[in-house]
Amino acid sequence: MEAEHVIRVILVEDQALFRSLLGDLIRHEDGFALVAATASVAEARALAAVRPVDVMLLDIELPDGNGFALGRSLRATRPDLGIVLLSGHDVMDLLLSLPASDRAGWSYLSKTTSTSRRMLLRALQASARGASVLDPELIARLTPRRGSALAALTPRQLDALRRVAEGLSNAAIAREMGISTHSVDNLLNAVYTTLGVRDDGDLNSRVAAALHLVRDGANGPA
Amino acid sequence: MNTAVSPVVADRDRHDDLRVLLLTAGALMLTFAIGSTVQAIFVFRPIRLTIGEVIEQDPLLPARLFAGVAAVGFVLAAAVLVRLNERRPVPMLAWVAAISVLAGIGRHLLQLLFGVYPRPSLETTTTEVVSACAVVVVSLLLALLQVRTRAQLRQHERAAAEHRTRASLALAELAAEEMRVRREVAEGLHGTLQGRLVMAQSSLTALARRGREAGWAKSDVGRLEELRTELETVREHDVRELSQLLYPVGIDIGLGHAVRTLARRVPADIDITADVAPDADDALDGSTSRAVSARIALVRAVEEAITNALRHGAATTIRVLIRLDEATAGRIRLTVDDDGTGLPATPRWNGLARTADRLELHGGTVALEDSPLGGARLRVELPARPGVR
Repeated sequence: MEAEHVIRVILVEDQALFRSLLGDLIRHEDGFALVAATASVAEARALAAVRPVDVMLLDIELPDGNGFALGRSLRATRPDLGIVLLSGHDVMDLLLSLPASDRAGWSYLSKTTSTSRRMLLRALQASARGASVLDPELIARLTPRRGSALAALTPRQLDALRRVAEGLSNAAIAREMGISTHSVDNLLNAVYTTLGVRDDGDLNSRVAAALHLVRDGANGPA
Repeated sequence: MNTAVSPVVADRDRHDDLRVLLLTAGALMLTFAIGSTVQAIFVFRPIRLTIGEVIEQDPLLPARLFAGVAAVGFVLAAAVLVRLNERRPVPMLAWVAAISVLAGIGRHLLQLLFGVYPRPSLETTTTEVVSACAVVVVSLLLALLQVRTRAQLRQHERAAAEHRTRASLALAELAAEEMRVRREVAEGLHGTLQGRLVMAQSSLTALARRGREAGWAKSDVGRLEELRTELETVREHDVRELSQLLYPVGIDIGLGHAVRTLARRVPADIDITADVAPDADDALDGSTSRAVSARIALVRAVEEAITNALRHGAATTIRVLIRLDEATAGRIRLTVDDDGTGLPATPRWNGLARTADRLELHGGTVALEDSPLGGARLRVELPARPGVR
């Protein structure tokens, strides 16, 4: 998956060590450019207004505010801006408070799960093109809640949906599950039907389906 | 107990006092004036008079009445001029005496001028002057007493109102302080303590790895792993619960988010849905301590209802519904229904009592009822704008 152009990133993280580690990682990667790194919401807002940027990498808990709120207000004027959220606690359900019109391009990674370099870069890429990546480890922990549409999925359908939420393409899902792309299409169509998600062949239906997983998935085993 | 009032209010009070003085004194004196006019005919003509004879006196009646009314007018004008009601007691009494004497003499002079008494005896003159004086003194004193009583009442009311305002301000300040401390402690738990625990965990992991490489006893390495897992539980569970108790997760973002977060923590084998109407969410939006505190109270109520449904009611289905009810002047209505065993004979939720107290502080009401789902229903109503009562 090679990016056609360089993805420009502004990093907002208040822990100095973590900020420099993340900054170095992005700076040294081909296809990525670190536009700026800051610890504060106010500074990030000012930077985003004047610097060219494709994706904001935002810590959620910041000293002078909240990364999620910052992301939302930036998106109000720039709907195509990608947002990757980072947090020390599982607050993935923040994404559920997004209105349907503003769900594309949001990714969520946890600092406490063993999020890898590869995963971070994939999330940045996905958000840059309006797709989303949700933390695979958090997704794996979710169990469908009794009585919800999610609970009506077969194990294979649920497996496919988890991979959608992780931001994989149908081809990648087919590879990982060892089935044909055509079978993946069929699986996902069944998922969309069960969840009541309109399949418009667009990224939006993938994001909407992934959010079903967040909303109706409970932490821990049933 | 003198409460400071603004010049505008003081001015209004003065006008009010003057009005009361003039109305009371005027009404009393006019009654006397009319009464004495009619009575004089009987007092000074000892013979029984027929209606015809009274009418015969007619030419003198208007004159008597005029003298009386003129005296009343003089007294009222003088009271206004000398600001009688604003004087201290001694000058006030002196003015009352002076005004009454002048009014009594003036009235009699008018009577003489109009020929009410063609040739009055000294006794008649004295009676007329003294009685008029007495009437004026009594009327003015009664009126002043009335003014004074009203002023005292007004001051009492103001003091009480100020007391209420102060109490409510103190309460608001206390609530703000409580929110601040809660938040700080929760942030400390969230940030500092969690961070330290994470570091301790990773040290233990490193130590266990070194131990394995150095060929330590398996049981020792195992114990290290156990410690690490225990720390993980403390961090992920205990610290989080504590922090949640102090300052629910997502409460800063909004009611809907906090309630949905809460619902997501419920085990997966429980069919729970949390439906928060966006307008209800908006109505309790904001970062004022009252708004935050109202949100916390509601989230706590939901938490309490869920806990009781699961722990005591053995429920498998829970429905949380939060709406803004426009029909009842914009009150937030929360219901938590469950399909559990329902209300015990005497519903007694210990945790709920505290929650109910808090909700009542915000002008809310709490009720436990039978639920259409077969179990218990917690119903809470809360004014949408807690700051406005």
